[in-house]
Amino acid sequence: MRRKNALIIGIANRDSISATIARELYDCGYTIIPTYLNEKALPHVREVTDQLGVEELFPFKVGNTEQLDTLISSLQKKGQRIDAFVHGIAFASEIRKDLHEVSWQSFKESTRVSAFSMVEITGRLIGADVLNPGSSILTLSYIGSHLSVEGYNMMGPVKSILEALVRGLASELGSKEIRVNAISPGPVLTRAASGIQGFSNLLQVTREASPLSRTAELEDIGKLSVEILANPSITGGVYLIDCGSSARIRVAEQK
Amino acid sequence: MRNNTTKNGLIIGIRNEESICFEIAVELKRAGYVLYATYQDESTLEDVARVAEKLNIQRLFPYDARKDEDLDHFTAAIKEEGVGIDALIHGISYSTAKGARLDCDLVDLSWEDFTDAIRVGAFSLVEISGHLLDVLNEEASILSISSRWSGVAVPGFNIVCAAKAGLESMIRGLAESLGEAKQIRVNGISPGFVPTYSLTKIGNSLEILDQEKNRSPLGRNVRKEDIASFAVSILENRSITSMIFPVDTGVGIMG
Repeated sequence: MRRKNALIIGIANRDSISATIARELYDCGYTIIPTYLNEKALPHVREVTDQLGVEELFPFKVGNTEQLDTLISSLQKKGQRIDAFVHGIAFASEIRKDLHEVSWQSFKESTRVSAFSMVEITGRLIGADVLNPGSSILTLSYIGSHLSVEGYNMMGPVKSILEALVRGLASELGSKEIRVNAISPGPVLTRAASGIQGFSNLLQVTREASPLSRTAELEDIGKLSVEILANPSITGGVYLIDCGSSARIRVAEQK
Repeated sequence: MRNNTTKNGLIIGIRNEESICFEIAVELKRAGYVLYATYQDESTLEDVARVAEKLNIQRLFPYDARKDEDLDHFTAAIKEEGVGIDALIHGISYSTAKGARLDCDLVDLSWEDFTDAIRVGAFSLVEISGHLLDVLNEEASILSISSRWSGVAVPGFNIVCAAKAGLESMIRGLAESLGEAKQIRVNGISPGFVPTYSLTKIGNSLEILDQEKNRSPLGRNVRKEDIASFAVSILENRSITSMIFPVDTGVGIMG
């Protein structure tokens, strides 16, 4: 059987959710095609991808057309076609500001990197005819899209936009047998999360909100990701994996 | 004596080989579970017994969700087996209950009709879980089968919609109380329509399936094996509780 190929955009280091998904996909027999943000990130990304039989990594920053062209022509040269595309990137320069203080420039940039890039990259992959029919796209969201989460600030609306784009792409690409979904994990201590004010409190509060008194584990997030990526009957969904913490309002005991 | 390496699954809701519960049972068996199941009453025993033989189901218990004595007898009988339950599948729907009031307006229903629907289609999950709490293992997992109908109106079948809405809320409530009590996880899946006995009760199966297919961005109906694979993946994922997840070829996202 032909080995399947997974394009993974979003590995920053070994703690990244995208790194876990890449590992799970590799264990399921996928060839991993990773990108890295810049030279500074490269050694940290390599630390992950060296374990996954990866020979070539591609530099990619959202908006850099030449980098995407290089990646795509390499795929074409090698006759590699993509079966799974994991979109795990987010950026918000003014994450520490309250929403009403955020500039349009920052919001626009964040929306491009964290949401619209999924559409742009997918569009280029389709245009270059390197997405296999039956292929599957997965992005990473967070419950801040539905609830206002203290400290998550501008990323809430950005994730709402991302989730709407998941449904939009799913509705438009279904006829090409391409599926699009998101997972929405509870907080996990990643490099991206370290930019969020009060993150350790968020972890604690989430743990306390969970009826299981835990937060989501990376391995479980990886397993769910692979199931959703591979399941031909699933598209357009946003799948929460957070030990039940977001489905519950705790009422503390009166002292 | 309980063998710690075998996992036991109890399945409530097998009607015949077409049932979603049958497909989930197949998948659980493949995953190494020893299976137990219930049947509604003598009139369905022949079908269920045939299925049980195919799946090597250890024992069948009669259980009509309307009857107090059935609930008491069957839960007592399970306790006598001396096995701990790791997975509980709840897949009974009011639509297949004998004498179900289908294709009629809400205002024409009596209070008795209504409570009958809620007990069979929803509260049975609470009763079974509560009665079996002693024999549910720590970290056991419960999965119930819901439907998109929980969140929409379906003239003629709004009694089923109400039961499904109640069911989903009970999933969240049980996730809280059973999670705290025994680290038990409780989730629901919301599958698109598939050809089952239950579907024949709500109209012309072929027509309904055709409509669904046309609504799906993928232009196809859900496959039972995909529902089952997803169901077992959710059952076994330790970071997921209190969720109701669609598996519907994208039908639910379409406006």
